[in-house]
Amino acid sequence: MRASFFQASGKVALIFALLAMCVLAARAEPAATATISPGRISLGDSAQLTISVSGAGQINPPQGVAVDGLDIRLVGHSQSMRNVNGRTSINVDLNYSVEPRRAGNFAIPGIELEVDGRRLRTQPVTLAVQGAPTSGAGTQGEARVAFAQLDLPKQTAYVGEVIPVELRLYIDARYNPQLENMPQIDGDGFTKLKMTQPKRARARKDGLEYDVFVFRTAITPSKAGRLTVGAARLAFAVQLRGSMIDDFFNPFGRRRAKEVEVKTEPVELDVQPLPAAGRPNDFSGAIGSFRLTAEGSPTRVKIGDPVTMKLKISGRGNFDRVNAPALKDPSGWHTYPAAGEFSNDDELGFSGAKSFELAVIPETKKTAMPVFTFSYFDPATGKYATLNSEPAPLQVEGSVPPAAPGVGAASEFPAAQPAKPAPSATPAVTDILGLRYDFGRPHTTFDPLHLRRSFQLTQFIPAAVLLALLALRLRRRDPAAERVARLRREKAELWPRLRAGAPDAEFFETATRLVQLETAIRTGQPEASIDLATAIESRPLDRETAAAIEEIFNSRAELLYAGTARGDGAAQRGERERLIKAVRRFEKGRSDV
Amino acid sequence: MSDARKFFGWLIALAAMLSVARGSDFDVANQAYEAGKFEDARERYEQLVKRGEWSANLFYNLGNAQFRLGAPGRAIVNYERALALEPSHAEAIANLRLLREKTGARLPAPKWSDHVVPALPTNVFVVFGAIAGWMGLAALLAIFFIRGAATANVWMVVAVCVLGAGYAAVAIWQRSGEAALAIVTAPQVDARLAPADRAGVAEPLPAGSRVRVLRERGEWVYCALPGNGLGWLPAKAIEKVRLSRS
Repeated sequence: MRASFFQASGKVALIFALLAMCVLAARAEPAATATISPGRISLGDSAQLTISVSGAGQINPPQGVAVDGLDIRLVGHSQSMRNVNGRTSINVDLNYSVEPRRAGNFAIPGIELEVDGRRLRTQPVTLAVQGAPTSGAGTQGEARVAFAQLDLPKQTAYVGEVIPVELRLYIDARYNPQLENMPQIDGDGFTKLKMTQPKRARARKDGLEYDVFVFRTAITPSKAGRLTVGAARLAFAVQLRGSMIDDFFNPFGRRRAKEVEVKTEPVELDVQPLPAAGRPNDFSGAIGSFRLTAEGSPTRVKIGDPVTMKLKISGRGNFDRVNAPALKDPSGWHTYPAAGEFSNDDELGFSGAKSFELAVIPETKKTAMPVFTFSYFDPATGKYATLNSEPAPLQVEGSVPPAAPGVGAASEFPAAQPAKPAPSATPAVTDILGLRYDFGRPHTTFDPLHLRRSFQLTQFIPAAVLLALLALRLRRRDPAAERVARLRREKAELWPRLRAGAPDAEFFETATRLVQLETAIRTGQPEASIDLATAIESRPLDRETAAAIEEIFNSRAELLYAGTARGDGAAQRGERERLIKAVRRFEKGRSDV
Repeated sequence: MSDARKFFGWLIALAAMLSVARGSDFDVANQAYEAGKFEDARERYEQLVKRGEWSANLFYNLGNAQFRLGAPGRAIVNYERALALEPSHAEAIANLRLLREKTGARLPAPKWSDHVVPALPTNVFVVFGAIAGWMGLAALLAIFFIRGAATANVWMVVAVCVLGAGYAAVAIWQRSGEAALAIVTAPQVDARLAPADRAGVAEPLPAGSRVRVLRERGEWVYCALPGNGLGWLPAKAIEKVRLSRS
């Protein structure tokens, strides 16, 4: 796209501009020189070839230059005017992009161009194009973007020995690598630790700047023989940059992503078995280089009192096989198992220190702390080594109690050394108590009571008692509750009759009965004995309700005893509504119904 | 009526004969022990154990015989059995303490519940819990039957009974792990991270160490170890404290 632009419009503009300047400027002797920058690039990069024409007039530049392995195209020009001693000259720079198609050293021959009808030729220039190998072996098939090396510190090892491994990944510093995966090391016959996160550094190699990523791990051979470690592989993506001119015209454009796989050369390792000769009895499989230190406290104790020993094994090696040091001479000492704790000095746990703390109890007089031993195999010398801790001074007071008869049968206990008994010392219990001659209470099971069937069955007894009491209580009648229920049932039957428009005698009889029932429920008195005064006093009433209740009672008495009739039908209905509401208020115990 | 009397008479006579036979065997074993014939004594004690005639004193004496024969781990497991039957067995407590010191037996760290629950037999808590539970239930029912101010006192009884039953439940729960309790009887054994002789060591255990059996797989047993870890032990290296009839 950009090339066509120059070809179409750039060329025309160049010719016209040069013609105009030629009119104004005095002619100078034209000359053409060629320069290329940079002179050394990597495959995938581009260089810029510049042909400077001084004293130029009309130039007819070539659009491209044919060189095998290179793609050279005219991409633009620039011009400048100089005045030297009153003579004006015009310089024109013709810019060509040079993109290599393969690695190698290229000679760009002199380029011929026509200036003001004269044919000029530039001097030849050279360009070195480097190809990046994909591995440490220098494979040429891939761009020189990255390569890697697998380093082992030694070529011979022993079975079980921990060997640190370093993988160095070199990536051209001009690229932006995206490491998303961890390297994989091929091979069998060894176990490997998890690879550490890489450490990044900058290094210069073969004249180029590289970002160096250092991965570390460790392998442990599990069998003897010749092992092949690797190859190690790592795939990642890099962002490739275009040429300067590409970047100028496309400053915000996306860079080209390129997937790169780097593969190292495999490394041979000669693995030997551990020698059987000279293997110490307490050898636990520790291989490496170690030191043993021991501290004990307190330094003054009584017989039977514990001395806390802090043992520390430091160095480099397979600490997972480092066990607690053993007592060199256990006689007269009683020990308890030690718990170990490892603190590593590196990410791999290859170097560090393992600490043990254990209690030792002097059972006899001692003058020094116990000596502990630790054996390991030193691959540097090819021999087993045994470390002994330094015996620090120790003062043990007290005396050894005499051994009780029969104890000697317990052969698994450490034998106590005879010592002079001290009269002031309290004799320690060293023998068991004697037999019991009574058989004692016989037992049929070890199961606790709640797991035995007999106990579980007995729990039905209190359960049955409680259930029986509950049933009896539920069956017992409550006369008061029954009476209240009966009264409420009767009330429920009377209310419809009160509103049914019955004759006066029946209406007042029903209303009076309702008041009596409600009062009986509230007071507990027999309903037949409830008179007007009792009803009104049974609850707080407003004056209107009390008057209405009194009217109900009096009207009932009049009808019952004197046979007096009350008003006509219409007035009677209005009266009845008022009285029914009063009964309702009485029932509710409120005056707002 | 006379037949029933005869039947019960025969039963009493049979029980007396069994008791005499058991006492006789126990006495013979004791005499063998006193004569220094510890192997003979051990065999006789173990015959009684196999017959299911158990007592705390029988296991205690068997533990003594094992100790004399140089098997402190087996002695410890029998003292533990004696204490499982009678937690207050004074001689078993003393001998157990002595042997643990001699062997360096490892014990699990005490739990909070160990400080709360006294060293009484589990059955004491079972009976106490049952009584408190039923009393509480009865009091709760009474509340619905009693009217008036008396319910306040009954509620107090309910609260006390619930607290008592809860305490007994905690104690029983705390002892529930004893069914899986086992003792290392081998002189020294390494608990391993996997059921294999070459597997990594989880914890070295001297004789008499206490472990809790979680799972059994062939010749290996998966155990909770005294150091709060888990590991595999050879089945023949441990013995469960609680025996079963089967």
